[in-house]
Amino acid sequence: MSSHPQIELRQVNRWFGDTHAVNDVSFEVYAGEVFGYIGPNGAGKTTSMRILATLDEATSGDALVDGFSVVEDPDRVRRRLGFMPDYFGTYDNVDVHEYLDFFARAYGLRGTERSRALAFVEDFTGLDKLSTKPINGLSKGMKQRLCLGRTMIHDPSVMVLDEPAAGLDPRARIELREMIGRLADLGKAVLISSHILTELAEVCDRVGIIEQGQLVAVGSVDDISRKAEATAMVEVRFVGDVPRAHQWLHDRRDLHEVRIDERKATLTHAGDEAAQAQLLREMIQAGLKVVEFRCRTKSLEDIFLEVTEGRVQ
Amino acid sequence: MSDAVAIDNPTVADEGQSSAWRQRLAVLDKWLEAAGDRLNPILVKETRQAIKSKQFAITFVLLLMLCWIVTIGGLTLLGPGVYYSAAGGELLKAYMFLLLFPLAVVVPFSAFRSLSSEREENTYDLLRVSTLSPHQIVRGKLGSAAVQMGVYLSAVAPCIAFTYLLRGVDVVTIAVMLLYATLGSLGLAMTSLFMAALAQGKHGQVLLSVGVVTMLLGSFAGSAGLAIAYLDEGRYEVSREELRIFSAGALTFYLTTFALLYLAAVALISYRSENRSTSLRWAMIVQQAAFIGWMAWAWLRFNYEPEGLIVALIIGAIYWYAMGTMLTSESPELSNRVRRRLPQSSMGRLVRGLLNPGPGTGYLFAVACFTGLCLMACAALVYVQYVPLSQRRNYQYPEIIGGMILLWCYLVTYLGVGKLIIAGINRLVPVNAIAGFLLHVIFLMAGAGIPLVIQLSLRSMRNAGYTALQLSNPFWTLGELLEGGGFSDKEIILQSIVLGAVAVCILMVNMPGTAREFMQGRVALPQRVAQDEAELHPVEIKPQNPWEEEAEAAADPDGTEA
Ligand SMILES: Nc1ncnc2c1ncn2[C@@H]1O[C@H](COP(=O)(O)OP(=O)(O)OP(=O)(O)O)[C@@H](O)[C@H]1O
Ligand SMILES: [Mg+2]
Repeated sequence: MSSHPQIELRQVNRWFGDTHAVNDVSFEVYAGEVFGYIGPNGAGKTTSMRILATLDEATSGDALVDGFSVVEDPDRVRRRLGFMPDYFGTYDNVDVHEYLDFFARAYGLRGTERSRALAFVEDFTGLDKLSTKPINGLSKGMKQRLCLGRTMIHDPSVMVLDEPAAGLDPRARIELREMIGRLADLGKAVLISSHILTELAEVCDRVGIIEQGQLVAVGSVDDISRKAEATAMVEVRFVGDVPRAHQWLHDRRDLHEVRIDERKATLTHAGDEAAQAQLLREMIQAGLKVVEFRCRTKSLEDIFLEVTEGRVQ
Repeated sequence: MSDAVAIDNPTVADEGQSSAWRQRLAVLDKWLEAAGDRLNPILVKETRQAIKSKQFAITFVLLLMLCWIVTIGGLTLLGPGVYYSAAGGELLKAYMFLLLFPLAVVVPFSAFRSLSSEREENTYDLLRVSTLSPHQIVRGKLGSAAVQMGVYLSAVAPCIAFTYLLRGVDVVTIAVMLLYATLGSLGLAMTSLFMAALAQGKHGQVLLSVGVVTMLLGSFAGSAGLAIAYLDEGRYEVSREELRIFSAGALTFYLTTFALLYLAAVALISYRSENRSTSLRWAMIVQQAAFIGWMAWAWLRFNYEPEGLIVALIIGAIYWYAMGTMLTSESPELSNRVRRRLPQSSMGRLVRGLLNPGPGTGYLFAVACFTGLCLMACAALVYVQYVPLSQRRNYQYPEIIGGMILLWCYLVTYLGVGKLIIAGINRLVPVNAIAGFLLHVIFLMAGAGIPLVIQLSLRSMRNAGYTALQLSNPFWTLGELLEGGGFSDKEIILQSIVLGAVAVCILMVNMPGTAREFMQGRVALPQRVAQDEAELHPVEIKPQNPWEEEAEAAADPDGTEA
């Protein structure tokens, strides 16, 4: 595969009137990589994905797909890109097979090439048994599959999926994750958005966290978890002289975010497991009556909440 | 066991037969498949949808039933008269009435809906991200309108054939009428598609769909009236020259307008960096050329009527004003995509520049085309000098020339100022074609209306008739000049000088912006694009001259490579 990124956003900005929906966003996604695009409602995920899919125009900046600008060469971009929007575009009186067939034709697939693509996609998404079902009668999950099928019908090298997991049951989510993993194995660059970091943690090679139009953190999931492992959340329960225990906790310099209610305290502690063991020993040596001491590494969810501040624009 | 063999097993025979059938069907299927591959994807999908659609089936059955009712009712009314009276015409009127409703209303409106509902149902985005070109989208929609039309026509066809058997109408009349109905229906479908492409926002869509329905119902009433009048008139006489000429003229107008609407619809749904103007400008040139051709022919044929020239000039001015209003609201910046294809030499850019997108070039283009029309009129005025007076009417030169100059000045002034207004507003908010058109029209109305209001509100001038205050009012001034003959030669010259000076000033004021548009240079093809282009269309190195060809043939004596 070529060494240039399959997806590249270069300082993309998008204003809607006074709303700065996408604020100077830049990132790259390479072939075979799954990039998770994560942010709360109204963060600008859909907007930047639509810009990438040639459906919206950046106020400034440019986005490139396989080296082609979405502004200057949308035709070339479209040949390489599969975009799955967060809604399902439906037609009356069309069944699953006809729907896929239409998009296969729309992408210029002919004859056996088309039938092969249709067979592959129907098999890949598990829609082969539903091929004569009218699309308006499909369940939400089936529609998502159909959307995904439509997105990959022309074997694009880049796939942009806007909240593909929304509305899926847990089993379907797992299946979807598998499908996305397989897509990456096929060498495609996948950009996938979600509100939920944990949902993507397993499939994503890297994630970008976006809030209020700005990318606030980018990195591999490993990087982020390592950072997360470096600090632990500790829950401690005491009996006996609780106020003294509280005082002791407050006086320690290496403990942060100490929250106390009644006999229970939660705090964050920088350091590995040995350091945690040391902390426990010191508590006991100080005469605190510890009945419970629990360490938990930070979940991606905690990090997400930490990085984003929950502001809605 | 042996029994089973001995008995001529019918099921086995059946199976053999049906498998033969299946084979034949499979061949047919394959053939259809191959043919279907070349068809427009949208056409294929919409035809499939239509087959399953209830609304389509209901309209079709209703049409069939109405035809039968008309037939039975007509025959009952006629009674035994059916054997001797020529009742075909009357029945045909009824059938045409029935047929024109689907053709003039149902088919074009469903074309409109099918494009605008893509927007509502969010499928439009899916089409846009696919590799379907805007041409394919418009052609697909148009094609499925044509298919629907064919179905309706075939429902009524037996009835129409029946009217021929009843006598009273001849084949040519029927054929011409059906041809007009078909062309008219396609034209309306194209217009509706154009309107659907025009309606981008939700409010615009509601407004425009009301407009479309009104237009379609109006054209249904009009075409039904025409068909009835035409059948009352009798028949299409191929021998009548005016009829032939009129038909040919109408056909020219139809075809050029159709092309213009088609290209405009395509331009409206093309993406922004695409060149959305040059093809339209070519279509305008072709339409003007056809118009000039017909006017010239008619002028030469019918005694060199001076009114002919004036009418041609007025139509031309209105046409270029209308086109100019939209051309001047284009964006002044050429996209890099367009600039890749600019001619390399500055001379080439100067020549091709008028056809490039941009408000300045658009303004100059409209003015240049109308100037061309004026020059043709001047040539005609010179030509008519050599025609003996016995063969023509007397020409009032001051009025014709004065009218021409005034038209030119008004066009240059109003388009020019309107363009400046749009450029000013463009700095604050982007102005699209519709808004541009409205701004121009508002400005024109202001230019014509404000002096009128002033004059009417001044007691001393209220009853004065035309005064010099009305010079900015093109309608009154030209009306006074051409119809009333209200100006002396001196006044005409004075008016021409004043308005001419204003027009030239406006033209000059617009020049810097226009020049900037012309100066935009070519940009090189990005390397990645060039690379992709080479992969997609590998250039065959063809022999440049016969010697190379010979050398190649010598190197490949069997011609196997060919
Ligand atoms: N067409 C539009 N007109 C005006 N504002 C818009 C438009 N589209 C998006 N916005 C605004 O841009 C911001 C980003 O919206 P966007 O849809 O990209 O968010 P998102 O991250 O996809 O959110 P969600 O998770 O809810 O889908 C929001 O504040 C939204 O109100
Ligand atoms: Mg969204």
